[in-house]
Amino acid sequence: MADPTFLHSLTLEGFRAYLQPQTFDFGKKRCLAIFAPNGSGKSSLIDALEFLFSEQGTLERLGQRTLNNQAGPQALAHNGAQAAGILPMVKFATKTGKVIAEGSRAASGNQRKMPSTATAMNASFAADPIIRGHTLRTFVENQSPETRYSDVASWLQLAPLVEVQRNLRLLRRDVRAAAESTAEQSRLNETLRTEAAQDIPEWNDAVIVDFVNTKVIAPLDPSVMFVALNKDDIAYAELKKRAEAEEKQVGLAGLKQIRNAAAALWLSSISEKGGDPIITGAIADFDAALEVLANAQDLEATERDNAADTVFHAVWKEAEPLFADDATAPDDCPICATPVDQTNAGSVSAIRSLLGKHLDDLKTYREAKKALDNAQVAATQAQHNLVARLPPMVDHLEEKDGTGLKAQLVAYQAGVACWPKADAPSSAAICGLLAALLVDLDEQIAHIEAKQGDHTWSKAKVKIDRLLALKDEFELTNRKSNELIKLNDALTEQSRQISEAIRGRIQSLVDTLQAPMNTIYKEIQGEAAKPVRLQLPGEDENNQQRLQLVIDFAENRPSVPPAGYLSDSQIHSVALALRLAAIKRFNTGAPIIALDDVVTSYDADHRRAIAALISKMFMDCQMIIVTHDERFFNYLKDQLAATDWKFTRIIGLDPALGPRFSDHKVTDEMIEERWAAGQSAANEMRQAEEEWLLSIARGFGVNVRIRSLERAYSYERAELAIAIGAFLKEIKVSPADVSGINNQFITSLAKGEIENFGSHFQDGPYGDGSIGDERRRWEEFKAFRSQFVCPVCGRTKFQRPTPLKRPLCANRGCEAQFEFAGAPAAVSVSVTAGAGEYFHER
Amino acid sequence: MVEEQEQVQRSAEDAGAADGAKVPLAAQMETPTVFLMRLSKELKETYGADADLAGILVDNLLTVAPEANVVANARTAIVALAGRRAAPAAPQEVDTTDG
Repeated sequence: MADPTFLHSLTLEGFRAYLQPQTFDFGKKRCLAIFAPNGSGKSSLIDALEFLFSEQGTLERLGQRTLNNQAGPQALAHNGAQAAGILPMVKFATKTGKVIAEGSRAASGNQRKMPSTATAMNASFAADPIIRGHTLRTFVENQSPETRYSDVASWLQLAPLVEVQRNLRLLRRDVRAAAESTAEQSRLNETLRTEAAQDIPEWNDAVIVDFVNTKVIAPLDPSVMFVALNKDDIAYAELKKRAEAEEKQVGLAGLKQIRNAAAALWLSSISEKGGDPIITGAIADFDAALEVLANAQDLEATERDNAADTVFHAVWKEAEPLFADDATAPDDCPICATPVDQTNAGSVSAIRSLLGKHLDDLKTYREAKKALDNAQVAATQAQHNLVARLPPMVDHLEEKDGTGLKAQLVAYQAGVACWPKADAPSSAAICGLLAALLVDLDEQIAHIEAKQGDHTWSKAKVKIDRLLALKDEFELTNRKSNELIKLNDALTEQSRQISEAIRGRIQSLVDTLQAPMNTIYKEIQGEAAKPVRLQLPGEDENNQQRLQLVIDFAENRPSVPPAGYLSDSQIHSVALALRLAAIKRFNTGAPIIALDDVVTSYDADHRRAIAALISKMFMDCQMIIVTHDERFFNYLKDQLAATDWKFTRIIGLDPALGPRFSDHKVTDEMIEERWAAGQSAANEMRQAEEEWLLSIARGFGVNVRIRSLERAYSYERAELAIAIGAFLKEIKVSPADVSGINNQFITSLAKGEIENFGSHFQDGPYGDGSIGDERRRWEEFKAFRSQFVCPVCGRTKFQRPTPLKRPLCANRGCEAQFEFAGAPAAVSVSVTAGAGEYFHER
Repeated sequence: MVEEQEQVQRSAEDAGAADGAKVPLAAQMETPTVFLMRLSKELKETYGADADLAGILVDNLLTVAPEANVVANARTAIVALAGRRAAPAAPQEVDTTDG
């Protein structure tokens, strides 16, 4: 069997609560237990492990981004790391056999790639090696079977399989909805209603055929009838043939178009009021314009002759005011000085008459010239209009229509185009032909309209083709729906197959774990605890996968849910037992267990039972335990081998450093420091006393009675003291009294009894004692402790090899038999009570 | 020496139970990725199973790292498959070449 992989070291640097680098060395002692009060950074060590093996490089409670209540990966870094120039990082080393592999993972930036060493180790974690107390509480509080199933699968690192089951459920729901959807049919029915002018609400073959025969075909030819609406029907072939024939003829629209083109050239019509025919059209307009032009030209020529004598127009114009009626006429001609009466006119009045005539002739000419100009413009416009309208008409006509109209129109068009350089062609023949054409067209149009209205075979075929396409769409939609129904059935079957396989997989793991889980469960809860069974009922339509906890609580209560019968603590134990069993069973390649505050729901006996459980069943594992429960911490210290375990405690959180650790041993200096800081040292004192008692108990080889689980609230310090007291009695030695004080500790120790200092110092909390009380108590203890020294070499370590009754000095060069030193010196105690301090001495 | 006088003794049966049932460890240690690969293969080879549908499920769902819109993608693929199956068969091209 391959060597398991263990953590060899772990260094936190700028990570979570740790600013300056802190290395945990597992080289000499594989397991680690840390005690610390809340908020002092103990969980950061577990965080480092979670981060190290996190696929996404984050913590579950931080999430992958800062969102809602999640802080995101940026919270991995110590808040002072950047200012201190420290790159947040977790460094580590693993050891497999004798092979040590190192790695590190940056805890900042977007690239927080898992190092290969961690990847390799992570591959050995079939079950999540980290157990946090709050997740166990969640397991207790979220008691829905679905949530429990998901939780357990997640613990077994089978969350992806649960995700598969969840996605399958969602997919089945979606595909079933798609198979049952009628949206496409509704859309097609809407199109059908549009095609059938709202006559047909939804597709029905018989109704559709009836609609086609009566509304589409009958107006054209009632003898053509569809039996079924498809392209194989004989009626469709007939429809197609007639539509093609119609394509070769000029249809109603085409006839109307030709008529419009002809009428635009020439049309004779009679007003509704009756009267002579009115000729309109571009040809008539052009002819009329030419006629007006010719008249204007004649008139202008005549008037031009009349005005030829008006060369002296200016002279006359100048003379007119001279001979005006109201003016005094000159006696002589203003130009040649001929006397008026000697001129041809002979008198002033005759001159006046002559002037008026010549000036009138000039005015008429100007008017004729203007009319000529206008006629020329109008004729040009009429020509342009005619030239524009002739080509469409020419295009409509066949080359050989039997009338020669097209050829004549072409020639006429050429002649019109040559005007005014050449004379305009005559339109008489063309107008005759156009008149005949219009009569013929009107007859054809009237005939068609009278026969079929707006229906044509082409339109009928287009509509039926659209209905056929719609039918194809309906059929395709129905086939697709049927295929979807089949696929939905197949999906249900394959989903069942997949889900059953996954359920079987999870059930097999759960079954495998059931026995060890119950063993662990009984270790915690006692032999009388009823076994718990984990059952996975099959998934059905209404329920997703569930994990049911059942117990045979009593003969008349078999297979009942434990929620109504087990306490929260017991269910909590089930969760813990299941996790531990899974890790032990499956993580053989890397048997590491990290426990973060897992005993908060337990009373003292159960905490002690968990400590015993660890020593009993998990000594082959590498365990990292952090707890804020000092009693549990002490249980661990007592029950776990010091050779494999390092016990340490966090004594404070230094913002510039991180968590400050003390050695396992509480030193006198640590207690003095507490008092110097104005803080109670009760816990430290109790710890120091217990450590010393245990050291003496071990050295003396006394029998320590470990109380049974059924006895609640036992305190091993008292037990140690009782055991030591009994041993001292047995070897007939007793310590000297401590002068000057009523030392309850020593007295009770001498009597083989001990007061419950645990409750005195801890449950108080710290009682009502002042620092002064603590100082006095501490001096008493130190005075008592000072008697346990080797009378020869002064060392304080002892041993008692069997079969000796008395302990010996552990110093190999000494090995003097133990005996109490002389009476301790009188105790001088500096006592601080409240704000004042008093000195007690006797 | 310190002795735990009332330490609960574990029976041989208990010890066996604590070690778990006799399930092959290799099977238990099968990772989700390997398990899903094996399941995919079994699904495709299941007699009478719809192979096209199995392919869609394998490609989209039976993976440890599915895409965010995996369900929608799979649904679209299934609907498209239904569409292909519902579509009329394309006319067979007749090979008119000699030989």
